[in-house]
Amino acid sequence: MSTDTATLPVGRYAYDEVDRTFLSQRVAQFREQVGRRVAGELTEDEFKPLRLMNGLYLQLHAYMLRVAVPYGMMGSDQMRELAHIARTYDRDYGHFTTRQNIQFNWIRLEDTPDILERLAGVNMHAIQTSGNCIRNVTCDEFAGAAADELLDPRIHAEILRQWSTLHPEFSFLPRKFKIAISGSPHDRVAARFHDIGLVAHPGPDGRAVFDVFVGGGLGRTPIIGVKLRDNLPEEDLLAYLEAVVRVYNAYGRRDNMYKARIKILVQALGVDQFREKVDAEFAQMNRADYRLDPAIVEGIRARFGIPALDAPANAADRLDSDRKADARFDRWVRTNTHAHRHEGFISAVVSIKPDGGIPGDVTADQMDLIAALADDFSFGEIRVTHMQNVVLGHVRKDQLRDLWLRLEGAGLGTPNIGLVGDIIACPGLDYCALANARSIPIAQKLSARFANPELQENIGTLRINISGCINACGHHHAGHIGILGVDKRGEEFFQLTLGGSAENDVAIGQIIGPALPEDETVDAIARLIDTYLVLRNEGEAFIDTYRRLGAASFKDAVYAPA
Amino acid sequence: MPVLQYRSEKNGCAGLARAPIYSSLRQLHARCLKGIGSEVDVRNNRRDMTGASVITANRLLDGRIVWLAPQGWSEAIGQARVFDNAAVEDAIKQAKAAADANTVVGIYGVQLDPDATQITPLTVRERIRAFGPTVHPDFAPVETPHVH
Repeated sequence: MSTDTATLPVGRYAYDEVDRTFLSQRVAQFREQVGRRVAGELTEDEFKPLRLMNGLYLQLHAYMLRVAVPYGMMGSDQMRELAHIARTYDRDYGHFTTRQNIQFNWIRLEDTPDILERLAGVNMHAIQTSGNCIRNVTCDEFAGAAADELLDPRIHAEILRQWSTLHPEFSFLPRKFKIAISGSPHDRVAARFHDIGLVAHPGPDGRAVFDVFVGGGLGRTPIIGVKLRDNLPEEDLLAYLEAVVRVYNAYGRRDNMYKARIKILVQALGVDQFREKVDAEFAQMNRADYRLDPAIVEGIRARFGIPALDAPANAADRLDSDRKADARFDRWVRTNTHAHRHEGFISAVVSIKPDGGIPGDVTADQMDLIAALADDFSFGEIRVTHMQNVVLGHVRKDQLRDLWLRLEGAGLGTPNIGLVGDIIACPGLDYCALANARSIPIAQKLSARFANPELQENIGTLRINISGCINACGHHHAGHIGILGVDKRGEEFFQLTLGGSAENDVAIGQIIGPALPEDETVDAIARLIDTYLVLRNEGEAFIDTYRRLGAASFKDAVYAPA
Repeated sequence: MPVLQYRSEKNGCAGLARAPIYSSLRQLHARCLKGIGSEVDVRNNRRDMTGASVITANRLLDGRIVWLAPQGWSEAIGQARVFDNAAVEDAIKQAKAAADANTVVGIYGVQLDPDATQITPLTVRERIRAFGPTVHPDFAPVETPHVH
């Protein structure tokens, strides 16, 4: 199928007729399945796996539809469609997730086929956003833009998406399976907290090679992934990953869902024995069938739109002068931007964490505004981050202040990225059928308490992650301060962990002591932060001070008498 | 494009033929579906020997929470029929066997707070189900009785 390069969407793969036909058939199939369920021809036990395969959960108050945003990339046209869905079929908002997807919390089963049809109209779907299959591949939110990037990982993320979509051997794995890929030496994808984490870099011949991590994860058994191999050649990427998932499929436990993730298998076998099995599988495969030919890679690459990065020669100077003229803008640039590979451009992070707000929730009007801003400032391209924010990847430096002014006018200019207010929180007991405690109210109280931007900058880098249950959708083990909701005889308590990190200094947070009642938790965290401010050395972030001093000093603060 | 699984039968057939443990796809499917049926999480169906409970479910068509009332399922917990805990298990069985059982999913019992003046679940989880997400008071169920 020929491709009109002038109309390729920037930053994401352009569907062709084969893809569109497939989605259309899939929608028709699900429409028929819903009809059979409503008519009573399918029982709930029979229907549940079918709806889950289409991203439709039954949550606490209603059905929840999780829509895939492949490697976090979408276009303004897609964001506008999501806004329409929020407005028409939901309660006027959506929620960005830590897997760079979006979910709607108030969906009706009977509307779902129509919603999926509308999504298919903009080349989106909800396939494999649930179930024991390979889920949405996540990616660096600054991919293709970051100054520190060695290789744009989105091309291979797309290849992995195509490889894993409806993979017949991997549609019923022992448990769900999550892959992340980065092309930067700075881990912004939590590679070692994934079932498979890939770090791509150029090999000697210029083609991509991959460092492969396996067996990482959070949940009730947090484990840091181990390196399975270095410098995997691009042409063997699919064969090798196929071998890894086959070994998992063959030996992973199916008798106990809490011990069914690949991390448990890797720990049970030991990494050496696991590697031996993978290597044995890899060795006996017909590698010609799986060879990722450079022509295939380039064929996929050719379906990605490339932004025309033309900026005036004085763009950087203009940004400098804009910053000097406006202290509030200067603060936002310090906290909410990321260095771009082109000197005239910069990446802007739109915080979806307003002071006292719900992390990751975005209204239909805000979605429309983000779409308009993407069109006006960033080639129509939008990125959802695993931190539940949004990135406009390619903004001209001389236009950054105009962007900020429009964000400010809509309440989307909160300068808190990487700071106390940039809290990751799962939906928790307010929405989730699995949760034990509410996550969002704790996030809102903390965010409101530390709303002062000067205070936030003074405190510095601090990652707070909140999960409403041990499944750890809020990645609490990876937070500098992690908060886990637990249930004690029907009432909410919160357990604190300290010292976690999902970045290059990866670590699992450690429990500091007994869980706290809900009404004491925010005060305890405030005392924890006050203690850090007193004890820190010059230039130390919270995590540095914690690692230097250990938990004891902080424990006294947390459990101080009221 | 051979990368696409949904375009390529070749890789898929090779994969299925090699599935190493399960002798048939049906056997594999049965094992894979184990544990993801519609059974209610046991944590949500616990109750004391004494006290009172109401019966709840989600409506099939829109997923909304409903409560078993004298004349059918209602969106308002205030309309719910209250059962002595000694009788609620039988009532749950009857509700599951009733003619309209296919219009709701996930039927189970909810223990009530004995100290509350109105029908109020004992646990935070069930109070949120009954009265809506605490972070969106505007989404609380409409109190107007809607028995159907």
